[in-house]
Amino acid sequence: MATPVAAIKALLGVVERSNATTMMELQDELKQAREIVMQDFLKRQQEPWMHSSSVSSSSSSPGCGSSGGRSGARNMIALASGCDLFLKYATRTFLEHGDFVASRNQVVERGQRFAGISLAARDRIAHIGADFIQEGQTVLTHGWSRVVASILLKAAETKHFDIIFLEGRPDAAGAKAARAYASHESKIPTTVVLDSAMGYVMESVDVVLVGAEAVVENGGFVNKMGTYALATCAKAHGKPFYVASESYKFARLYPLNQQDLPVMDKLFEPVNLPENVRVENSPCDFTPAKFITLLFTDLGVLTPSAVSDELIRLYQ
Amino acid sequence: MPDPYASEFTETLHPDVIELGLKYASGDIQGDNERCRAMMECFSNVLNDYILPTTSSNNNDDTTTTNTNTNTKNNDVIDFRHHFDHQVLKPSFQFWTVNCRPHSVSMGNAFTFLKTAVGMLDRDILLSDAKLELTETIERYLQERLEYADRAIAQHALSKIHNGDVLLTFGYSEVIDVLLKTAHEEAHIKFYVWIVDARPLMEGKRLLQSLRAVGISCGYIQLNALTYVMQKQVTKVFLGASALLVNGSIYGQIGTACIALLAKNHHVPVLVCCETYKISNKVQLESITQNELGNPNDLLLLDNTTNNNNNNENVNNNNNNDSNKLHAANILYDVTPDKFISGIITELGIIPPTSVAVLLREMNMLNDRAY
Repeated sequence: MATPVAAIKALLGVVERSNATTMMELQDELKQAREIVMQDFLKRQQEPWMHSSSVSSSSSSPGCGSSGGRSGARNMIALASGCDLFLKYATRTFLEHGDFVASRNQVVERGQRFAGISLAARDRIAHIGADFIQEGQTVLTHGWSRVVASILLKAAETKHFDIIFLEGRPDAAGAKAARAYASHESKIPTTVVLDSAMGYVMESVDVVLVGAEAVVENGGFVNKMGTYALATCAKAHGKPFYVASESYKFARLYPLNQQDLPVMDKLFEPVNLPENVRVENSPCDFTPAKFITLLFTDLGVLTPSAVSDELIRLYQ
Repeated sequence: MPDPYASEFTETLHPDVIELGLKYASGDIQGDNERCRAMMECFSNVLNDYILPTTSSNNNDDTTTTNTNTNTKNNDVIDFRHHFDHQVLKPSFQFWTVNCRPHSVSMGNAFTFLKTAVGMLDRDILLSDAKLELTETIERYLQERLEYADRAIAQHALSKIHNGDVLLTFGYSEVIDVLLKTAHEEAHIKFYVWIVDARPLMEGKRLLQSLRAVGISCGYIQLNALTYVMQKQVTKVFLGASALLVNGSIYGQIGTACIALLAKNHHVPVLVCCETYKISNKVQLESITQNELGNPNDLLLLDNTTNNNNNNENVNNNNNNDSNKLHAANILYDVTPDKFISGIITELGIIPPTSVAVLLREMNMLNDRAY
């Protein structure tokens, strides 16, 4: 289950069990719950071995349990945006209905369907994204993403194409994903190259397709470290650069540059270096909108500038 | 330019309107927020003194009503809404824009809002109630769309100012003033500000004074020294705007586009702070077809301290032969294309320039629902 979906389920539990009788009370409880969820999430990130057992996979992905790794460390932004979206939805329902009980029931009912909705979102993205991969092409991807996997597997049903994975240091997400694809029944030919070989392989690539931790308001997105370099490289070679993301990962953030990202947990990695050498090891980077060709979302195929339009509509 | 003292105005318009018009013309009131605020406050005053015309002729303003109305003694026959709109709002606005100085987008939007508010009044409303309601409406508009908006913008923008930042801004903008002071006094962020200034308005001095008064460290340069600081020091550029055009361009004080272009070239993020009431539904691709010209003598003035009259003589005496051939264009505004802008900070949040149209649409939908 994706982290934001889990968070929304937790908030839903709050609504279901709440004894609140007014909208304000319930909102306060939800806000408190949001803080607890976020803090708990941060705390878990600091426990080094939590991840190995906690990552579960959904049925549509090719045995990715092992490839989840520490990807949770990056999901902070998406988690916050998922919570915010639920809060916003609850508030708006109450405002529109006026009647507390009726609107509470509606929030609960929609919340219960949310896990289903998020799965359906992935299917929809797979459906619209698969058309962008054509027979005989080579697709370059970075990191592990369930949405990207669903697109590739959907496309593999009708077309033959190759996948190149970047290895994905330091958690080797790409290599692990390649292993998963190799053992999958779709038998897509997969290649793994070093992260630093992205320039080397770019000339033989037709399409670059990546997932996203969060899509931000200026149309850019946040993803596994190296994505920005990949995007600039693709731009220089004139290759289309596609991003696949569910719309619940749209976040009300406006990063201007890399320093502007929210502070994220450093990746856990023991390095044997003298103490006076500083290791900078952020898990994510930010890719500005101008490097993105199109975004595949459950709202349809969007240009980067349409992200802000959707966000304004969601949060207005 | 027609004479603002012509009797056709002085006899029909409220003295406050005339006074404000002269201030607009002379440049005593400048800046889009200030001009808009002055206009709304002036209307509020005029409204206060307003009386519906009756058969008696002792009222000193708005007496140019039609004869049919003056024949009746019944006030109800004269529709306050129609009369106020046609005898007060329209002529005043026309006087300011035609005879004094072309109106800004901010004034245009506020005026449309006020006209709509008058039109929305109940037909049978008592004059005293209408006055009360409109005064409150004006007050609320100034509070929500200007004052609170500026504070909200400051809060949004604070997330983009960090310790050690070197900011750069241009001329004087009320919202930038509020923002920088908030960052310094409330958020206690340590930053440095380069204030870029340009002739002939030299409004940057005003910002410099204002910021120095609260102890913010500032640098002050002229526009032509811009590359010198931009090349290595500046981390963010904050600009004010006169209007947001729906295609994402910014209509701003002349020089704004130059700064945005240079910042873009140096990969410095350019953030434009602007209240949403300044969104214009016009599209402008360049700043030539529509612009405003200031007094050309301001440009030819070599010493800023001498006043206009002296200068006039200087130009005429010294360059008597050239004065016919010399054309000094004191252009007041320019258009900054959206590609030079990293983000627009409005009271509703930070948005990319491409989303101004969406904001306008969503806000109109909101207004429709409210009414």
